[in-house]
Amino acid sequence: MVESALYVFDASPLVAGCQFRVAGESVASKAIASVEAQIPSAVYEEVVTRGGTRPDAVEAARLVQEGVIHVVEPTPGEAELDGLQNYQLGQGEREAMTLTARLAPRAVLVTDDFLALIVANRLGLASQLFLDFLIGRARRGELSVASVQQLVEAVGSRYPRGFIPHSLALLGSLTA
Amino acid sequence: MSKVSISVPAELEDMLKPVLDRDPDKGAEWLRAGFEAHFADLYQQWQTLRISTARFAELLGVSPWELDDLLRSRELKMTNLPG
Repeated sequence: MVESALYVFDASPLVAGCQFRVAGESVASKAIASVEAQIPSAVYEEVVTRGGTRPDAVEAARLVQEGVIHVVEPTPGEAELDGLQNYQLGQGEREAMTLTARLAPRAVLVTDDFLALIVANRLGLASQLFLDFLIGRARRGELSVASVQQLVEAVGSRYPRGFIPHSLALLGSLTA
Repeated sequence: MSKVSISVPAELEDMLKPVLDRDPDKGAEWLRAGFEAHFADLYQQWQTLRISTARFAELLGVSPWELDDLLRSRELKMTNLPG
């Protein structure tokens, strides 16, 4: 039996997903429901601790408290993934990649940072944009195409021109 | 918002002090100008993939949420994705 994937998030998809709502619920809450989602402690620090009491950070904290997102501490003595020192990445991104490598081949890094995507690719880590994480959920039948279309449209203002029409076209092809 | 620290060379501080003594509001104006220049420099580095999003926030001394607010309020790109 093939084990299902687990997803390691850096701060960028959580920032995108916690500030927009669909039908009264955050995009992150709907998107991450029922998947195995993990963040390293540095991402928790960036998103929850440093976010304080602002509503979107409180939403991220709620997802952690309710066990939707699991916080993973670095393994004692675990070295940072070799190669990361060559790039100007943030602490959360570096820990997220190190965690993804530790949990490979099951783990997929979810990030909206283009440099992080390139570095993950060079390191042989599975990685994807938050939009592609959403589309994947529809493709596997875990969320309905219609509901994912709503989520994609809700976060659409964050992405450069082309990403949202393409995402909606990919979703449309699932129902064709 | 988090505290943002922009270092000023000692010799420059000596030069600026008399002006600040005469007009304390100048300090806030200069601080803002310094922050904007620092922000613009980091934004350029971010868009050209020399630094990542989280590193951008770290170097600016703000949280990812605050970086998001700063980008939105200036109507700048919200990601470093191409396009």
